[in-house]
Amino acid sequence: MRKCLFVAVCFAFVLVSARSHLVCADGTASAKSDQPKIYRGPYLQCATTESIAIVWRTSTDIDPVVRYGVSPDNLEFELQGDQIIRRMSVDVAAVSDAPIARANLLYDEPLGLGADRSPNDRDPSTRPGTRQYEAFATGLAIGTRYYYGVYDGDELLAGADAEHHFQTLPKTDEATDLRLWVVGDSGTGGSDQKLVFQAMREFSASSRIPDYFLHVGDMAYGDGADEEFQSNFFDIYQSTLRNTVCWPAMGNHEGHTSRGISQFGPYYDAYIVPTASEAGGVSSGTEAYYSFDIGRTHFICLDSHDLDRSPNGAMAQWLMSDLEVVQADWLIAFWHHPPYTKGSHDSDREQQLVEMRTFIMPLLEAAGVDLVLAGHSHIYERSMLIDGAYDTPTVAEGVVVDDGDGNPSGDGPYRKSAGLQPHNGTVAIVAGHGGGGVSRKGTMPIMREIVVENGSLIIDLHEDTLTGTMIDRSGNKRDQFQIIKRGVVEHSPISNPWQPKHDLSQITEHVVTWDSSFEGRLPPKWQLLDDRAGRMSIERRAGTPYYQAVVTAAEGNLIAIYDGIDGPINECQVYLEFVRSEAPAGLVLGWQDANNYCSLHIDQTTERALFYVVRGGERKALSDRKIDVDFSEPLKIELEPVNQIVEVQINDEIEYTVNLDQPLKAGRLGIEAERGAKIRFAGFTIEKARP
Amino acid sequence: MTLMYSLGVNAPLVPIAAHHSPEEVIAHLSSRLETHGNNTTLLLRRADEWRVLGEPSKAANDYEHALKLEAMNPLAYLGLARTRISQKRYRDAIKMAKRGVALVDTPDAQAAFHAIVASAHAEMNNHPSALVAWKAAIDCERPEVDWFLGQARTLNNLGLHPAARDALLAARNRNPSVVLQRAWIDSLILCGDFQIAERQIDAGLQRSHWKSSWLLQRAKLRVARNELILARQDAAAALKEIAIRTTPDVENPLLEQQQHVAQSLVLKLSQAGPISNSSGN
Repeated sequence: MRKCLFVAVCFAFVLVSARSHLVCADGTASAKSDQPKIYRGPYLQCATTESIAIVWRTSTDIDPVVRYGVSPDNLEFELQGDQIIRRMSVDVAAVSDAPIARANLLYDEPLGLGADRSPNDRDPSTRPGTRQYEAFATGLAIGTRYYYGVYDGDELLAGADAEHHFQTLPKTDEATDLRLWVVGDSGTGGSDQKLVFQAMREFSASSRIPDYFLHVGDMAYGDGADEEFQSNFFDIYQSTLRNTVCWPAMGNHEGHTSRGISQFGPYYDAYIVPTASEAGGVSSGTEAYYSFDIGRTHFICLDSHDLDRSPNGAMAQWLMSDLEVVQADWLIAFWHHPPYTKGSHDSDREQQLVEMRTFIMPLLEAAGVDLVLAGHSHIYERSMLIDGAYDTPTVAEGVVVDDGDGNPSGDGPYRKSAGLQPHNGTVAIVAGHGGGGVSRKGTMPIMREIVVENGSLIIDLHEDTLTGTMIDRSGNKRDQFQIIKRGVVEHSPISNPWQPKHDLSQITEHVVTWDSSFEGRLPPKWQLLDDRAGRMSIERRAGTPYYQAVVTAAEGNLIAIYDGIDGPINECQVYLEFVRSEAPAGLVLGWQDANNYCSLHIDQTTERALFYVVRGGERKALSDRKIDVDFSEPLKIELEPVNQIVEVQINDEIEYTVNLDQPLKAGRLGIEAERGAKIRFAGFTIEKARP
Repeated sequence: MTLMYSLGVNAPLVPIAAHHSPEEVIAHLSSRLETHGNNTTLLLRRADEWRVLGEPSKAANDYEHALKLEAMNPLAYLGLARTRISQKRYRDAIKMAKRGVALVDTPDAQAAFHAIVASAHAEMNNHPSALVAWKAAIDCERPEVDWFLGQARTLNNLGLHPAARDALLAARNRNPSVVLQRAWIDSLILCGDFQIAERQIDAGLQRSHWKSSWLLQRAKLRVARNELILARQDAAAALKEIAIRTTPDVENPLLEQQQHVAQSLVLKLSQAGPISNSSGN
């Protein structure tokens, strides 16, 4: 927890940890003189009907001033001095003349946490030399647009033009037209993320620029590190962030470095959200979950990642209280882990998703929630109008109350009663397609539209009508639905509703299996790089009807390449078991030829996982970690390449990110065993990336 | 996961596979322990799983085993202390927590141990000692809402109802959480500060679209004022509203809890007299 004006300031002065940052003689980090002074922002946060926060960062000391007014030509009001909170990286605090309150220190990786980090991993701490300024403009007029500029004394640093403006929230007792931009799982910094952003900008330019930006988490792959926020969020979206408030939900990747309970980490440094009902709802006392009103729409943001999701947990208790006071026309809730999905995640199997469905959804539907927005699963899935779908596994029978497509040009809009009526139907949307590789594991039966393509969602609210439009990365309109809330509408569950077709051509998962016909030989589509090094053959797993591959590298290093898939992938997975442990073995990724590929090697003897690249025949280690796994059981290994990182998961327990020194080229996959290793593997599964 | 994280955020001590049941994880860990011999991390992990399964004896065995291997492991002390609380072995819990607290050096990390000491003393009705420990726990930068609530309970048990009320008010000044506000209103009722409580409840009722939780709190106030018929009316009105918000045969864990409280009150106050038509706010 930090900076919120409404939380008591901590006066405990701190000793700054001694970290080895590169600093100048004056103790501050070096900054080239030709660089712009502002490296992050200015951006907008925590809008209310009468206030807003303007945030920015510099690499040098400045005399911060914000000037604003209702015309860009007349910035008649000024914020300076105590109206601007100064926060800083620890190296800056260390040489500060004045004592610095702990709350004003930006994230510095706790001592000891970096022990497992390889030299190639990014330091998640705040960039040395950082000063963050948080200017709070108060006493503003309701629903009014202001223009602003950020200054160093009298020197203009940014703004004071038509592009830098903010708008206070409208009255809560009047319906207001709204456009929201909803994005999830975008934070790769890659071309798909940029295309999605551009597509939204082009779509909006011809109609209406979004008034607010909702991000449903995973905005800074791979670890939510401070520099990843910079490169994968702020640098990409700055042209929107300077005049559009982003209301965030924390994703699991931000959770690698940020924590919900104590609210520390780069995520909490980046955002300021209401904690004391400044913008509506009731006080949560935490930035991990919060609510706000925009006109007649109430928004709720939850932390599905690392807080207690149970009914007796503080978050659910707060939610209950918050929902009691809602007297809006529309209710929209958002968080990261989706209650319903069969995209790159499965809501029937994963604990966080199951708990959000079984504990949180009943509360929301009892309060008449209209839309539930989530990410996490890299896909676009949009439900029919549903109610009471809390069982595991999720079924469509008896929980769909309108099985039409909701499209005004198709089956027609979904209808609900005016106001917020309990259990009157919800549309649940997974918008985890904002930039990461998209994929689909299966078919969620309550979904009406499933699109395996990058994109984002535009939501328009106009009087009693909500319109959702999904724009893909190419700017195509891929889904549209409407909810009209008028009069009294009663629904009954449909016992045998329409259900989406389980279209195998749409399933991106490619599973390699064998049967008895392959027994004792090298299966088709597999080739050995050097068949003198050893052998690979298929055998039946003792006591089971299943077949597995056995690889023996008796005479040299053996690489077996799979030819069944070529091109970009989102993820590959294998269950690998050591029969003999003299030498390491693992999974090959991005195979071009014997001189160019990547590999994750598991060494049972040293209990380490080594990720390396071979480029031009030279092998370079990028990550080398101690792993605590049970080698007597098959290891589940998953590799997920996203732009210039590879997400590694072992046994669902160990999860970390390997930063590549250049983007991974699409290539084939395979198995590598060093001389002396004998392994078995099965469950070789590949999620193809969509072209 | 580091000690600092584990103590600071009260998270699981080591990462737990989201997809596996505790039984599966335990089987997995046992197999690894058999294969690889004693290992503190595996033992702590298995102990945590035993706790999740409600097997405190087995959990305690693993924590103790881990401490034999690594006598200065604060996580083992923390786990064992928590287990002893669940076993109602409060003196042992205090002993373990006091050993553990000596092994960590930041107020935030120490706070979790102080909170265990406080809980154990409170369970033994040793409220003065509990109070000292709650204060120590809360004297960190980011105390948990639960600790404020624990401190208030202890003060109430000492008969220091005004102090509990004031502590909750002070807690609210540090953290505006509505959960603390509701506890403070309960304490106002206990202190006989009916007017302030009533104002808070009335404001809540006025502000709320759905009123069942406030109606139940007002029912408590009215019971304290011996306005039993009115109390019963509130509980009945709460029940009626909960019925509107829930669907038969569809689970809603939190509203069902409220429903249970309301039903109990209605039953308990059934002798108070007939319910008038003018119930609710």
